[in-house]
Amino acid sequence: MPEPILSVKELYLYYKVRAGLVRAIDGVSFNLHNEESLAIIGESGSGKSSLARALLRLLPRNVHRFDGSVHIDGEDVMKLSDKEFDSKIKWKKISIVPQASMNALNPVIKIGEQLAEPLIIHKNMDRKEALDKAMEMLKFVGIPQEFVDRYPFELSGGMRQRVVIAMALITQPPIIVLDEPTSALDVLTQASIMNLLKSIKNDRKVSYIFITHDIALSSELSDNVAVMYAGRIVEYSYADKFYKEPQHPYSQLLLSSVPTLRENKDIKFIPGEPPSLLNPPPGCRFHPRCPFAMDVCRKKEPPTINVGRNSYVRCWLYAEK
Amino acid sequence: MQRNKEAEQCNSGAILCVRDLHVWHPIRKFLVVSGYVRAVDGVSFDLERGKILAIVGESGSGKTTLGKTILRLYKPTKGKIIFDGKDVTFLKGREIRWYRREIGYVQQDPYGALPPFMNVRQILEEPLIIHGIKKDERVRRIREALEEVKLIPIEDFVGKYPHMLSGGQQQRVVIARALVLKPKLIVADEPVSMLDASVRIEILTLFRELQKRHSISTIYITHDLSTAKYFSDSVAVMYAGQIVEKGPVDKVIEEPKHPYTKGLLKSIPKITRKKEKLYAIPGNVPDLAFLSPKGCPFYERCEEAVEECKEATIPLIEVSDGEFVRCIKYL
Repeated sequence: MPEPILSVKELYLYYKVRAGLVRAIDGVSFNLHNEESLAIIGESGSGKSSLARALLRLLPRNVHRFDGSVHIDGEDVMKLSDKEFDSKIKWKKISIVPQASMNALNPVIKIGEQLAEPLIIHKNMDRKEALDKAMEMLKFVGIPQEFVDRYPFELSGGMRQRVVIAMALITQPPIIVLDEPTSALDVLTQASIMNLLKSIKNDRKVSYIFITHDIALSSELSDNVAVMYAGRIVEYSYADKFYKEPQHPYSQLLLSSVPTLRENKDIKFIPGEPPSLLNPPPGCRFHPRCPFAMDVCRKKEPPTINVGRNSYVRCWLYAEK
Repeated sequence: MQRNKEAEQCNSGAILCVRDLHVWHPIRKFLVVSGYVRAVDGVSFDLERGKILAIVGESGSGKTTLGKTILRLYKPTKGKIIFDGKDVTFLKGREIRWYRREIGYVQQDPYGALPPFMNVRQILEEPLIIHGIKKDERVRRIREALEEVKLIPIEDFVGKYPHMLSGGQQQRVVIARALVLKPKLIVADEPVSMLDASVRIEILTLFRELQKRHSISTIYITHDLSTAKYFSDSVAVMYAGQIVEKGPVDKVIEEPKHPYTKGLLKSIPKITRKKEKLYAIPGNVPDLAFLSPKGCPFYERCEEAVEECKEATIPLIEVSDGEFVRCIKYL
């Protein structure tokens, strides 16, 4: 097995708020290999966007605890200072397509200038060269080149999304974090953005961390799947197995909540709300909503159990009796 | 005479009957009208009492304008809206207040729809005060509405402000607010598109229950045909301000007739693990301000287009019982 391009071990991220500590990421570990796509699935409030921010170190000020180990391309980035991280890792090794990225563009700066900016700052290019590169990139994501001189409001939602994707690609980082890249778009625009992301993956040999709450969509772009619940990964599996035989009760319920067009199945929803990250329930964090909850689930945290090649689940149902 | 005849055509079981509705927004340049954005362009449909109608289309297809016109937030340019046997197309003043009591509205973005400085009780009480309902009745109705949307125990919720609630709970408050006046019709404009996939089903199930229990008719505006399948009785597909296909939900989804409906269905991701690309209809929705009045508006993006499509004005053609399509192939 070759070295993973991104390796995360026991990552913790807590925020401090007036009411106490928010345990947004509570001991998360995973590996991402070269040219691979890992889908991270979870409800709002499961910590998936915090994970994206932690990887890019785009953290708010009220961080209480941020530790663990993150290796990007063999380098332990947790040892770097913020300044070193900005100059060596951010944009060069890892970039992000943020959530609601339609609004991530600066409304008073032309598209071309915004695209060229990371090149000027991170790659020390001169302005002219960077603008040429920006035009090339626009063409690559399917936007006419004359759009370099337009402002964001002159573009449709799907086009703005393409610009943000171009921005994440322009410094050619090996890892791109996609944080709900299509959540604000309608189905047809979503389809064309997903196709773009797929062709980028094939042509540019990048690795994706694809964060989404939409399971059907995640299946379009994933080699491996990690399901997050209340700040933890509760199941990690390869895609072929995951969509056929999800192991964790939460994953099973998530999959049965997907409406399908062609077959007539009963769709269910998961009763209750995701737990508060301020004081998560004791034991397994899913037990208040779990149909199979046992005594042990209420008391003790489940261990991570290996259930076959490259698949893990955190659930007492799979523990050896 | 012509007008009466059209009104007569409305099915007597229909709670809402829309006939040849046009909403044209004028484009002004220096106070001179230079053209119109034809957001809704000749839409007709019936919504039967106690049924759910899904209106499906891309952004820019005019579906939200249609919803807002039914709510009479926009003024129709031409056509008729008949609600419960009464013509409400051009209602004014006191009369429109009666109409607004009969219809509820659920918006797309629950957080944006709720005033941040009012708690749940105040939010639900406001419409009741406006419509002059007495104090004890107000307390009772708020309790009922909250129980209806399953925000229980209600004591935990009445004092909360919108930011203290999760997205799903916020949307429930919006639905409760639409319910307190006991409407006969609810217009839900993309009620779940800002919510998590798992919460979506929960909210849509709630609409289904309300419809069954109180026979509240619902117009469900969405871009997602897969949820329309589970949560509506009939579907109308909109494109460029017109209905291009309508009919019972199973028929439209199992045997789509219009090339646009077919494209929409193909673009929905499904869990298959095939590495092929998703289908995306080429091109974009036409700009409704520059649409040629002649020919099929879908012509340029259509894979099955023929030369005649460019010129012909195509009516909505009944292809089987209750199923209509606007495409030259069925003429």
